[in-house]
Amino acid sequence: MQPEIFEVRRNKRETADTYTLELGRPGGAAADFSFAPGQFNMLYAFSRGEAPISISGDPARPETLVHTVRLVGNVTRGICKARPGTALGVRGPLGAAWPVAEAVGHDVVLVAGGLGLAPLRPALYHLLQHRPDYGNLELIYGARTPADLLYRRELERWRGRFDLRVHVSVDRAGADWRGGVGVVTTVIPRSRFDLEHTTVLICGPQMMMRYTVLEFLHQGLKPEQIFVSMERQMKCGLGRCGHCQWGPFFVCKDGPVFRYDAVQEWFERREV
Amino acid sequence: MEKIEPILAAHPFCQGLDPKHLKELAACASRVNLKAGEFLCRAGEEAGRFYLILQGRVTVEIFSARRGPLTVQTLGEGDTLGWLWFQEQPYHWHLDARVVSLSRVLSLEVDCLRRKCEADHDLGFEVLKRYAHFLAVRFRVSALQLADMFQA
Repeated sequence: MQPEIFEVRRNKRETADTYTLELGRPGGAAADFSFAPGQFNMLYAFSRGEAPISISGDPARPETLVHTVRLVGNVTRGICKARPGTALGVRGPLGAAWPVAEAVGHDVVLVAGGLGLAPLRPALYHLLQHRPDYGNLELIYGARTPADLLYRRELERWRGRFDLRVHVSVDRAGADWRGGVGVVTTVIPRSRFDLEHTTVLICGPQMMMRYTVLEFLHQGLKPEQIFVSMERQMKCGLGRCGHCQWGPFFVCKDGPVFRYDAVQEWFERREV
Repeated sequence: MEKIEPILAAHPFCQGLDPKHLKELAACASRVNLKAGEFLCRAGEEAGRFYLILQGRVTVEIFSARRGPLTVQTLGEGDTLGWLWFQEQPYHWHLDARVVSLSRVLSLEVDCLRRKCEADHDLGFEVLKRYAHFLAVRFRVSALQLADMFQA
């Protein structure tokens, strides 16, 4: 699979180390890029290399391809520091998506930790665009501090809606923070959902996902109602090179979104 | 005046308690309304009260001379705040709890509770069962906070 050339249209700094890039085709043309919520692309920064990055934009707006990237190394530095007009290579969309069609008729709880809100945002856009198809919608978002929260303006807009309950909690904060403080799992008992008809979508650091899953199971949800988005070192993105092998799965091809009951055994193993 | 037993019974800490035990607890409880900016407790003070939050929002803070107040937890409806001590010497608060929006709480006098639990061990066991669960949850949450789950 060859990378296609895209051009950076806009680069917005979200937090101290995280940037949101809007991409289009060269020469000012629209991106014309269709994807399903939860999928990712391999982004190629020329002369540096390639990295798997979740698509964080609106699936109903294929004219703009949006990625939110944390600067963690050489490749992501090249992506994060790309100015408007810079060319980037894109291979994708790749991987499995959030089960937004299967969740029709259910309450949906989205739980994001840190940068995990980026791959969940397309799912939330979809749920809000098809709002009558779903029951109660809850977004639970946790971060280390208020300065680490992504999409601040959008969070405020979502919070103002009557058809979505938004819970934001940080691990620690100064006196000027008006939101919640406490680990994200403490918010779960406050969220409203029907035990029988709920789908939970979780994305964040693995430790956060582990304790979040345990809390939902403790509340009475079944493993098959919970979906997690996994992160592993990826290379080919096609399930051939084996870099992202996780037990019997290739995260790039079989995931990154997995139903929890399918991966439960591997999720709890320390060796993989 | 509204009776305290049904309010106690509706709080998660007291759910499932026998009516006679609720009556005993109610004898140690009073309703308190607090305005934003007031403190439920301050570090160093004697921990003479155990609070069941009915409504509102309370932040639990550690004060540092260099960094000012650092919020480590926010509490709301259904939450619990306090120490239960069952020996003669009371515990002392090591944190501040500041009300950030108009709050209604049930305030239980710990010494009164201690005497009632001493006199009726069935009540004591019920209270300790709930308190042990509260401490276990707090311990787990604190461990997760210390683990810094979101570290990049």
